[in-house]
Amino acid sequence: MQAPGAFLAALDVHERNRLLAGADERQFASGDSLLVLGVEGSSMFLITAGEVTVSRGDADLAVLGPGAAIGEMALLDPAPRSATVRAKGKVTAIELDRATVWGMLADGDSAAVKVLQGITATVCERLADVNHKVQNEVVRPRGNVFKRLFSSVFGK
Amino acid sequence: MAIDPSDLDSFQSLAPLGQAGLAALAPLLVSTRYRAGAQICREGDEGDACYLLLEGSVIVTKSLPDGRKVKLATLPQGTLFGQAGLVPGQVRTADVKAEGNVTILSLTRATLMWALGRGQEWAVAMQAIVAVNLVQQLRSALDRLSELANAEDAQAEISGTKRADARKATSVSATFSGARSRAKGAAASDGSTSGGFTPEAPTTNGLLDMLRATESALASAGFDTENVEFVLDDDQLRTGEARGIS
Repeated sequence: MQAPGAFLAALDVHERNRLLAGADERQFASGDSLLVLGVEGSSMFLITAGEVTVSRGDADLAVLGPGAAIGEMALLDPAPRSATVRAKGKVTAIELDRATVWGMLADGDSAAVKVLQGITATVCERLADVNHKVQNEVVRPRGNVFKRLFSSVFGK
Repeated sequence: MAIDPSDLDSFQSLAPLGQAGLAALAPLLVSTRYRAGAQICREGDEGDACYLLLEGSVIVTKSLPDGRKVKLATLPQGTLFGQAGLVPGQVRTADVKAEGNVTILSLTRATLMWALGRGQEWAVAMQAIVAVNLVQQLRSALDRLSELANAEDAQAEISGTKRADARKATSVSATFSGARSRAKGAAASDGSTSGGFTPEAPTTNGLLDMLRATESALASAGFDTENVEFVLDDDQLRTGEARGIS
Protein backbone atom coordinates (compact mmCIF):
# COMPACT_ATOMS: atom_id res chain seq x y z
CA MET A 1 0.00 0.00 0.00
CA GLN A 2 1.03 3.54 -0.69
CA ALA A 3 2.52 5.30 2.32
CA PRO A 4 0.43 8.21 3.58
CA GLY A 5 1.09 11.36 1.65
CA ALA A 6 3.28 9.62 -0.89
CA PHE A 7 1.23 10.83 -3.82
CA LEU A 8 1.72 14.47 -3.00
CA ALA A 9 5.09 14.12 -1.29
CA ALA A 10 6.83 13.61 -4.63
CA LEU A 11 5.53 16.95 -5.92
CA ASP A 12 7.30 20.23 -5.26
CA VAL A 13 5.27 23.21 -4.14
CA HIS A 14 4.74 24.53 -7.68
CA GLU A 15 3.63 21.16 -8.97
CA ARG A 16 1.31 20.74 -6.03
CA ASN A 17 -0.25 24.11 -6.70
CA ARG A 18 -0.75 23.34 -10.38
CA LEU A 19 -2.36 20.03 -9.52
CA LEU A 20 -4.60 21.50 -6.86
CA ALA A 21 -5.63 24.33 -9.16
CA GLY A 22 -7.37 21.73 -11.32
CA ALA A 23 -8.82 19.80 -8.38
CA ASP A 24 -11.88 20.15 -6.18
CA GLU A 25 -11.74 20.04 -2.42
CA ARG A 26 -14.67 17.99 -1.20
CA GLN A 27 -16.20 17.65 2.26
CA PHE A 28 -17.96 14.48 3.34
CA ALA A 29 -20.14 13.86 6.39
CA SER A 30 -19.91 10.62 8.32
CA GLY A 31 -21.39 7.78 6.25
CA ASP A 32 -21.23 9.60 2.90
CA SER A 33 -19.95 7.54 -0.01
CA LEU A 34 -16.87 8.65 -1.91
CA LEU A 35 -16.97 5.61 -4.20
CA VAL A 36 -19.69 3.03 -4.72
CA LEU A 37 -18.91 -0.56 -5.70
CA GLY A 38 -19.98 -1.29 -9.26
CA VAL A 39 -20.63 2.34 -10.19
CA GLU A 40 -18.30 3.73 -12.83
CA GLY A 41 -16.23 6.67 -11.70
CA SER A 42 -13.85 9.01 -13.43
CA SER A 43 -11.92 10.54 -10.58
CA MET A 44 -9.60 9.71 -7.71
CA PHE A 45 -9.52 11.12 -4.18
CA LEU A 46 -6.61 12.08 -1.98
CA ILE A 47 -7.70 12.10 1.65
CA THR A 48 -6.46 15.24 3.41
CA ALA A 49 -8.33 14.91 6.74
CA GLY A 50 -10.33 12.20 8.46
CA GLU A 51 -10.68 8.50 7.80
CA VAL A 52 -12.57 6.36 5.30
CA THR A 53 -13.71 2.74 5.38
CA VAL A 54 -13.16 0.56 2.31
CA SER A 55 -15.70 -2.25 2.00
CA ARG A 56 -16.91 -4.83 -0.42
CA GLY A 57 -20.26 -6.43 0.32
CA ASP A 58 -20.46 -7.00 4.06
CA ALA A 59 -16.71 -7.13 4.51
CA ASP A 60 -14.76 -4.08 5.69
CA LEU A 61 -11.42 -4.29 3.94
CA ALA A 62 -9.48 -1.34 5.29
CA VAL A 63 -9.57 1.99 7.08
CA LEU A 64 -7.50 4.68 5.37
CA GLY A 65 -6.47 8.07 6.63
CA PRO A 66 -4.85 11.30 5.47
CA GLY A 67 -2.53 10.87 2.49
CA ALA A 68 -4.34 7.81 1.18
CA ALA A 69 -5.26 7.73 -2.48
CA ILE A 70 -8.46 5.99 -3.47
CA GLY A 71 -10.07 5.22 -6.80
CA GLU A 72 -6.83 5.87 -8.64
CA MET A 73 -7.37 3.16 -11.25
CA ALA A 74 -10.25 5.17 -12.71
CA LEU A 75 -7.83 7.86 -13.73
CA LEU A 76 -6.27 5.46 -16.22
CA ASP A 77 -8.96 2.96 -17.06
CA PRO A 78 -12.57 3.90 -16.39
CA ALA A 79 -14.57 0.94 -15.11
CA PRO A 80 -16.96 0.20 -12.25
CA ARG A 81 -15.40 0.85 -8.83
CA SER A 82 -13.96 -2.25 -7.21
CA ALA A 83 -15.06 -1.29 -3.68
CA THR A 84 -17.27 1.08 -1.72
CA VAL A 85 -15.53 3.82 0.27
CA ARG A 86 -17.41 5.71 3.00
CA ALA A 87 -16.45 8.55 5.27
CA LYS A 88 -15.85 7.49 8.86
CA GLY A 89 -16.57 10.76 10.58
CA LYS A 90 -15.93 14.05 8.78
CA VAL A 91 -13.61 13.74 5.79
CA THR A 92 -11.90 16.24 3.53
CA ALA A 93 -10.55 14.98 0.22
CA ILE A 94 -9.12 16.40 -2.97
CA GLU A 95 -10.86 15.08 -6.05
CA LEU A 96 -8.79 14.80 -9.23
CA ASP A 97 -10.65 13.99 -12.36
CA ARG A 98 -9.46 12.07 -15.36
CA ALA A 99 -9.92 14.78 -17.96
CA THR A 100 -7.91 17.27 -15.93
CA VAL A 101 -5.00 14.95 -15.27
CA TRP A 102 -4.82 13.72 -18.87
CA GLY A 103 -5.03 17.30 -20.06
CA MET A 104 -2.04 18.14 -17.86
CA LEU A 105 -0.22 15.08 -19.20
CA ALA A 106 -0.88 16.24 -22.73
CA ASP A 107 0.78 19.50 -21.72
CA GLY A 108 3.74 17.51 -20.40
CA ASP A 109 3.12 18.89 -16.90
CA SER A 110 5.51 17.28 -14.41
CA ALA A 111 2.83 17.38 -11.69
CA ALA A 112 0.64 15.03 -13.74
CA VAL A 113 3.63 12.86 -14.65
CA LYS A 114 4.36 12.39 -10.95
CA VAL A 115 0.74 11.53 -10.23
CA LEU A 116 0.96 8.97 -13.04
CA GLN A 117 4.12 7.51 -11.50
CA GLY A 118 2.49 7.40 -8.08
CA ILE A 119 -0.49 5.53 -9.49
CA THR A 120 1.78 3.15 -11.40
CA ALA A 121 3.69 2.31 -8.22
CA THR A 122 0.50 1.76 -6.20
CA VAL A 123 -1.00 -0.40 -8.93
CA CYS A 124 2.19 -2.45 -9.21
CA GLU A 125 2.19 -3.21 -5.52
CA ARG A 126 -1.46 -4.15 -5.51
CA LEU A 127 -0.94 -6.30 -8.60
CA ALA A 128 1.84 -8.23 -6.88
CA ASP A 129 -0.33 -8.62 -3.79
CA VAL A 130 -3.44 -9.74 -5.70
CA ASN A 131 -1.47 -12.16 -7.89
CA HIS A 132 -0.01 -13.64 -4.78
CA LYS A 133 -3.49 -14.17 -3.36
CA VAL A 134 -4.72 -15.64 -6.64
CA GLN A 135 -1.86 -18.13 -6.58
CA ASN A 136 -2.65 -19.15 -3.04
CA GLU A 137 -6.31 -19.66 -3.95
CA VAL A 138 -5.38 -21.73 -6.95
CA VAL A 139 -2.80 -23.78 -5.09
CA ARG A 140 -4.86 -24.46 -2.00
CA PRO A 141 -7.13 -27.23 -3.37
CA ARG A 142 -4.18 -29.30 -4.43
CA GLY A 143 -2.39 -28.60 -1.16
CA ASN A 144 -5.41 -29.99 0.65
CA VAL A 145 -5.43 -33.05 -1.55
CA PHE A 146 -1.80 -33.68 -0.69
CA LYS A 147 -2.55 -33.15 2.97
CA ARG A 148 -5.40 -35.62 2.79
CA LEU A 149 -3.22 -38.11 0.94
CA PHE A 150 -0.49 -37.59 3.46
CA SER A 151 -2.92 -38.19 6.32
CA SER A 152 -4.35 -41.29 4.73
CA VAL A 153 -0.93 -42.79 4.10
CA PHE A 154 0.48 -42.09 7.53
CA GLY A 155 -2.76 -42.45 9.46
CA LYS A 156 -2.33 -39.07 11.04
CA MET B 1 24.84 -1.54 -31.90
CA ALA B 2 22.56 1.13 -33.26
CA ILE B 3 18.86 0.39 -33.18
CA ASP B 4 16.87 1.58 -36.13
CA PRO B 5 13.50 3.14 -35.25
CA SER B 6 11.92 0.92 -37.91
CA ASP B 7 12.96 -2.10 -35.79
CA LEU B 8 10.32 -0.92 -33.33
CA ASP B 9 7.46 -0.95 -35.86
CA SER B 10 6.49 -4.49 -34.90
CA PHE B 11 5.76 -3.45 -31.30
CA GLN B 12 2.04 -2.70 -31.32
CA SER B 13 2.15 -1.52 -27.75
CA LEU B 14 4.54 1.26 -28.78
CA ALA B 15 2.36 2.50 -31.64
CA PRO B 16 1.12 5.44 -29.54
CA LEU B 17 4.63 6.90 -29.59
CA GLY B 18 4.35 7.61 -33.32
CA GLN B 19 7.33 7.89 -35.64
CA ALA B 20 8.84 10.83 -33.76
CA GLY B 21 8.55 9.03 -30.43
CA LEU B 22 10.08 5.83 -31.79
CA ALA B 23 12.93 7.82 -33.31
CA ALA B 24 13.62 9.41 -29.91
CA LEU B 25 13.36 6.09 -28.08
CA ALA B 26 15.43 3.88 -30.39
CA PRO B 27 18.90 5.29 -29.60
CA LEU B 28 18.21 4.98 -25.86
CA LEU B 29 17.55 1.23 -25.97
CA VAL B 30 20.21 -1.34 -25.15
CA SER B 31 20.31 -4.44 -27.32
CA THR B 32 21.31 -7.78 -25.76
CA ARG B 33 21.52 -11.24 -27.32
CA TYR B 34 20.79 -14.37 -25.38
CA ARG B 35 21.47 -17.99 -26.33
CA ALA B 36 18.74 -20.60 -26.05
CA GLY B 37 18.01 -21.34 -22.41
CA ALA B 38 19.71 -18.21 -21.05
CA GLN B 39 17.96 -16.49 -18.16
CA ILE B 40 16.70 -12.98 -18.83
CA CYS B 41 14.80 -12.30 -15.58
CA ARG B 42 14.94 -14.12 -12.30
CA GLU B 43 11.91 -14.23 -10.02
CA GLY B 44 12.58 -12.20 -6.89
CA ASP B 45 15.29 -10.00 -8.38
CA GLU B 46 14.69 -6.27 -8.35
CA GLY B 47 13.86 -5.08 -11.86
CA ASP B 48 15.46 -2.00 -13.36
CA ALA B 49 14.18 -2.13 -16.94
CA CYS B 50 11.40 -3.25 -19.23
CA TYR B 51 12.04 -5.36 -22.27
CA LEU B 52 11.14 -5.41 -25.94
CA LEU B 53 11.44 -8.80 -27.58
CA LEU B 54 12.99 -7.99 -30.96
CA GLU B 55 13.90 -11.49 -32.19
CA GLY B 56 12.93 -14.95 -30.99
CA SER B 57 10.59 -15.93 -28.17
CA VAL B 58 10.88 -16.32 -24.41
CA ILE B 59 9.33 -18.64 -21.86
CA VAL B 60 7.81 -17.28 -18.65
CA THR B 61 7.69 -19.58 -15.64
CA LYS B 62 6.82 -19.04 -12.02
CA SER B 63 7.39 -20.87 -8.76
CA LEU B 64 4.24 -21.53 -6.79
CA PRO B 65 4.13 -21.34 -2.99
CA ASP B 66 4.03 -25.13 -2.85
CA GLY B 67 7.34 -25.37 -4.69
CA ARG B 68 6.05 -26.42 -8.11
CA LYS B 69 7.10 -24.47 -11.16
CA VAL B 70 4.52 -23.66 -13.79
CA LYS B 71 4.87 -22.30 -17.26
CA LEU B 72 2.77 -19.16 -17.65
CA ALA B 73 3.35 -18.18 -21.24
CA THR B 74 5.54 -18.14 -24.29
CA LEU B 75 5.93 -14.56 -25.43
CA PRO B 76 6.42 -13.97 -29.15
CA GLN B 77 8.56 -11.47 -30.98
CA GLY B 78 7.07 -7.97 -30.70
CA THR B 79 6.11 -8.24 -27.02
CA LEU B 80 6.71 -5.60 -24.37
CA PHE B 81 7.25 -7.31 -21.01
CA GLY B 82 8.62 -6.77 -17.52
CA GLN B 83 6.99 -3.35 -17.26
CA ALA B 84 6.96 -3.44 -13.47
CA GLY B 85 10.75 -3.10 -13.76
CA LEU B 86 10.17 0.58 -14.50
CA VAL B 87 8.74 1.04 -11.01
CA PRO B 88 11.27 1.45 -8.19
CA GLY B 89 11.40 -1.35 -5.64
CA GLN B 90 9.37 -3.88 -7.62
CA VAL B 91 10.75 -7.40 -7.84
CA ARG B 92 10.43 -9.70 -10.84
CA THR B 93 7.40 -11.89 -10.43
CA ALA B 94 8.52 -14.66 -12.78
CA ASP B 95 11.51 -16.26 -14.46
CA VAL B 96 12.02 -15.51 -18.13
CA LYS B 97 14.27 -17.64 -20.32
CA ALA B 98 15.20 -17.52 -23.98
CA GLU B 99 13.41 -20.22 -25.94
CA GLY B 100 15.84 -20.09 -28.86
CA ASN B 101 18.38 -17.41 -29.60
CA VAL B 102 16.78 -14.08 -28.83
CA THR B 103 17.54 -10.38 -29.09
CA ILE B 104 16.06 -8.13 -26.45
CA LEU B 105 15.99 -4.34 -26.27
CA SER B 106 15.96 -2.93 -22.74
CA LEU B 107 14.61 0.40 -21.66
CA THR B 108 16.10 1.08 -18.25
CA ARG B 109 14.22 2.87 -15.53
CA ALA B 110 17.08 5.35 -15.26
CA THR B 111 16.69 6.25 -18.93
CA LEU B 112 12.93 6.71 -18.64
CA MET B 113 13.36 8.88 -15.52
CA TRP B 114 15.99 10.96 -17.26
CA ALA B 115 13.71 11.56 -20.22
CA LEU B 116 10.69 12.27 -18.02
CA GLY B 117 12.75 14.82 -16.11
CA ARG B 118 13.30 16.61 -19.39
CA GLY B 119 9.65 16.44 -20.28
CA GLN B 120 10.30 14.35 -23.38
CA GLU B 121 7.04 13.46 -25.05
CA TRP B 122 7.83 9.83 -25.77
CA ALA B 123 8.65 9.28 -22.11
CA VAL B 124 5.32 10.67 -20.88
CA ALA B 125 3.50 8.53 -23.42
CA MET B 126 5.57 5.49 -22.43
CA GLN B 127 4.79 6.00 -18.75
CA ALA B 128 1.10 6.28 -19.65
CA ILE B 129 1.21 3.07 -21.73
CA VAL B 130 2.81 1.18 -18.86
CA ALA B 131 0.42 2.61 -16.27
CA VAL B 132 -2.67 1.73 -18.30
CA ASN B 133 -1.35 -1.80 -18.98
CA LEU B 134 -0.70 -2.36 -15.31
CA VAL B 135 -4.14 -1.08 -14.30
CA GLN B 136 -5.79 -3.45 -16.77
CA GLN B 137 -3.73 -6.32 -15.43
CA LEU B 138 -4.74 -5.39 -11.91
CA ARG B 139 -8.41 -5.34 -12.87
CA SER B 140 -8.10 -8.78 -14.46
CA ALA B 141 -6.34 -10.07 -11.36
CA LEU B 142 -9.00 -8.58 -9.08
CA ASP B 143 -11.74 -10.13 -11.20
CA ARG B 144 -9.99 -13.46 -11.00
CA LEU B 145 -9.48 -13.19 -7.27
CA SER B 146 -13.09 -12.30 -6.55
CA GLU B 147 -14.29 -15.12 -8.77
CA LEU B 148 -12.00 -17.54 -7.01
CA ALA B 149 -13.10 -16.24 -3.63
CA ASN B 150 -16.77 -16.45 -4.58
CA ALA B 151 -16.53 -19.83 -6.22
CA GLU B 152 -18.42 -22.25 -4.03
CA ASP B 153 -18.05 -24.78 -6.74
CA ALA B 154 -14.57 -25.91 -7.72
CA GLN B 155 -15.77 -26.17 -11.32
CA ALA B 156 -16.71 -22.48 -11.48
CA GLU B 157 -15.88 -20.86 -14.78
CA ILE B 158 -13.11 -18.31 -14.59
CA SER B 159 -13.34 -15.69 -17.29
CA GLY B 160 -11.86 -12.51 -15.88
CA THR B 161 -9.71 -12.08 -18.97
CA LYS B 162 -12.66 -11.96 -21.34
CA ARG B 163 -14.40 -9.27 -19.38
CA ALA B 164 -11.27 -7.20 -19.22
CA ASP B 165 -10.97 -7.46 -23.01
CA ALA B 166 -14.50 -6.26 -23.53
CA ARG B 167 -13.82 -3.27 -21.33
CA LYS B 168 -10.75 -2.14 -23.21
CA ALA B 169 -12.72 -0.95 -26.19
CA THR B 170 -14.45 1.72 -24.17
CA SER B 171 -11.77 2.46 -21.66
CA VAL B 172 -10.02 5.66 -22.52
CA SER B 173 -12.42 7.52 -24.80
CA ALA B 174 -13.91 9.78 -22.19
CA THR B 175 -10.48 10.68 -20.92
CA PHE B 176 -9.25 11.85 -24.23
CA SER B 177 -12.18 13.95 -25.24
CA GLY B 178 -11.64 15.87 -22.02
CA ALA B 179 -7.92 16.16 -22.59
CA ARG B 180 -8.46 17.42 -26.09
CA SER B 181 -10.81 20.20 -25.16
CA ARG B 182 -8.62 21.31 -22.30
CA ALA B 183 -5.51 21.28 -24.45
CA LYS B 184 -7.30 23.28 -27.10
CA GLY B 185 -8.28 25.85 -24.52
CA ALA B 186 -4.73 26.14 -23.24
CA ALA B 187 -3.33 26.56 -26.73
CA ALA B 188 -5.86 29.22 -27.57
CA SER B 189 -5.25 31.24 -24.43
CA ASP B 190 -1.52 31.82 -24.63
CA GLY B 191 -0.07 29.35 -27.09
CA SER B 192 2.24 27.83 -24.50
CA THR B 193 2.13 24.91 -22.13
CA SER B 194 0.51 25.72 -18.85
CA GLY B 195 3.30 24.80 -16.44
CA GLY B 196 6.28 25.90 -18.42
CA PHE B 197 8.44 23.85 -16.05
CA THR B 198 10.74 22.46 -18.67
CA PRO B 199 13.08 24.17 -21.10
CA GLU B 200 12.06 21.62 -23.71
CA ALA B 201 8.35 21.89 -23.07
CA PRO B 202 6.69 19.63 -25.59
CA THR B 203 4.24 21.01 -28.06
CA THR B 204 0.73 20.25 -26.96
CA ASN B 205 -0.18 18.74 -30.30
CA GLY B 206 2.68 16.27 -30.51
CA LEU B 207 2.02 14.77 -27.14
CA LEU B 208 -1.71 14.90 -27.59
CA ASP B 209 -1.29 12.93 -30.80
CA MET B 210 0.64 10.31 -28.87
CA LEU B 211 -2.00 10.12 -26.20
CA ARG B 212 -4.72 9.87 -28.82
CA ALA B 213 -2.77 7.08 -30.40
CA THR B 214 -2.64 5.38 -27.01
CA GLU B 215 -6.39 5.57 -26.99
CA SER B 216 -6.84 4.01 -30.39
CA ALA B 217 -4.20 1.39 -29.76
CA LEU B 218 -5.97 0.37 -26.59
CA ALA B 219 -9.29 0.34 -28.36
CA SER B 220 -7.99 -1.96 -31.08
CA ALA B 221 -8.20 -5.62 -30.31
CA GLY B 222 -4.59 -6.04 -31.33
CA PHE B 223 -3.29 -4.49 -28.15
CA ASP B 224 -2.78 -7.63 -26.18
CA THR B 225 -1.95 -6.67 -22.65
CA GLU B 226 -2.89 -10.02 -21.18
CA ASN B 227 0.10 -11.79 -22.67
CA VAL B 228 2.55 -9.13 -21.77
CA GLU B 229 2.96 -9.22 -18.04
CA PHE B 230 2.99 -11.87 -15.47
CA VAL B 231 -0.60 -12.03 -14.41
CA LEU B 232 -1.57 -15.57 -13.60
CA ASP B 233 -4.00 -16.76 -16.20
CA ASP B 234 -5.93 -19.68 -14.94
CA ASP B 235 -5.91 -21.60 -18.20
CA GLN B 236 -2.19 -21.13 -18.49
CA LEU B 237 -1.80 -22.22 -14.93
CA ARG B 238 -3.74 -25.42 -15.62
CA THR B 239 -1.68 -26.02 -18.74
CA GLY B 240 1.45 -25.46 -16.75
CA GLU B 241 0.32 -27.89 -14.12
CA ALA B 242 -0.39 -30.44 -16.77
CA ARG B 243 3.10 -30.00 -18.15
CA GLY B 244 4.50 -30.31 -14.66
CA ILE B 245 7.77 -28.46 -15.09
CA SER B 246 8.78 -29.12 -11.48
